[in-house]
Amino acid sequence: MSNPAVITLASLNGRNNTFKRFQVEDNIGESIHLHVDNIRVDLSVNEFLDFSDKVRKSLAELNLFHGYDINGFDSRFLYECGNLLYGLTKISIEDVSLSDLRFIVSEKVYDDLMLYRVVSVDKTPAFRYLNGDKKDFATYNQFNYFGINNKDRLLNLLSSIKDNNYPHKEKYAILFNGQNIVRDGQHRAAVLAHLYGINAHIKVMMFHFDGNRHIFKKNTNNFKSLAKWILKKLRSKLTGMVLR
Amino acid sequence: MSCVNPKSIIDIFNNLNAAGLRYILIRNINSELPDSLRIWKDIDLLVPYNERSKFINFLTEKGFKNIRHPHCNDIFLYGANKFEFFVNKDNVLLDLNYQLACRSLNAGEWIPLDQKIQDSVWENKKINKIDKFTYYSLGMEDEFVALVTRSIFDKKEFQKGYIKRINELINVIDVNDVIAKFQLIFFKFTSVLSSMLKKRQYEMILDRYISFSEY
Repeated sequence: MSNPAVITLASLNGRNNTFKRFQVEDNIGESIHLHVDNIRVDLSVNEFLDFSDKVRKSLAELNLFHGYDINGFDSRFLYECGNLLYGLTKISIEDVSLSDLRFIVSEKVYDDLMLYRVVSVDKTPAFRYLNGDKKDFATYNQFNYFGINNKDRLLNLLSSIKDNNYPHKEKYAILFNGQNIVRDGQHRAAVLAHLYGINAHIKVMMFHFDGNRHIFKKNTNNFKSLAKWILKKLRSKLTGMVLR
Repeated sequence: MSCVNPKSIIDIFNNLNAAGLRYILIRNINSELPDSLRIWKDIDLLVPYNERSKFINFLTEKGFKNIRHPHCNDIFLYGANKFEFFVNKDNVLLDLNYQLACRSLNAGEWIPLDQKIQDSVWENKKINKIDKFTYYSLGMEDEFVALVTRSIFDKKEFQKGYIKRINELINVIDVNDVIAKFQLIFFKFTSVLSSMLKKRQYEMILDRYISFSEY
């Protein structure tokens, strides 16, 4: 019996990871599945929420963030940098000019091929939207939490920064050592640049890691995306030819 | 609007019936068949996979050609077989389905409905005669389950033609049979779904399903 309403809530599958398969799925109406390699744990929604809460408390006790509360960080950001956290040696707060910061944006270059660019704050989709260039932001491809769109997310943030200032509850823009690229907080930086100008100085949080696994390699990432895109197109063409 | 010649459609079904081939017309929304099927609109036929070769040989003999199916690059899971398109010179386009399947909410992969439902469709198929048009269709309960499932998973909405047919069926089906089948697809959402269908709350069903958490 297979449930067609399976939604992947989170997945950290990968050949080089500690677990080859680590995935959480919501099987609507049935149960939440936690897959860890060949093991599957079935949980009710309440059991899963209780389990998540306990994991969060355990992580807080591990003090991974050197005195900062784990609950102050964006869950999506934690998910994306989760495999780097064991190498986090220090967190510092630094003063930087917004004009010195760089931001990762994705851009459609051909058909559905998306590649990364690293740009200054005035070239980010959020800053351009706030400064009157409204045309592409609504459809810009970015992660949002359920039930919120690009525009509302940005305008809510603008309103929050106006009301509470920055950084509210220690929610800084975050950089990783060795690069001036904002890894979390692109919208916050865009709002600050919109409100105070692109030469304004702001406090940012710098994560210091051992080694260089945390370095964003634009060309490597783009090469992988391009290779995957070409393979996908080839496969599509070949499969089509076989069936004709 | 140009339509497929009804005689061509009737002839094909007559030939299938005469050849004793097993098939089921999965749906006939708005009773398009045989008189008002637009050109390039397909006819969904369910065919047992183990009789595929026989069926395709028959179609080839009757002048049908295999053409590329728009879903040929989709992912088919849990033993679901890919759909196949066959067309003849009269623009009769047959979409061969080998299981009743639906798209998963995950990444749109095709997933066969539970085996008990697959067995039921063959056990409960019925013959229909409308003038010269004779064809096999799903039994009422299976058709009801198929229409609701397709609306939720494939269409992501209840379209007018589907609602019309669901409303026709809802008062004549064996509710217990449908509920037993729904439980194989919707699990604990079944009672909420049944209640919403009874109240004709079609527009709210998908949102309620996605946000359902009582399990």
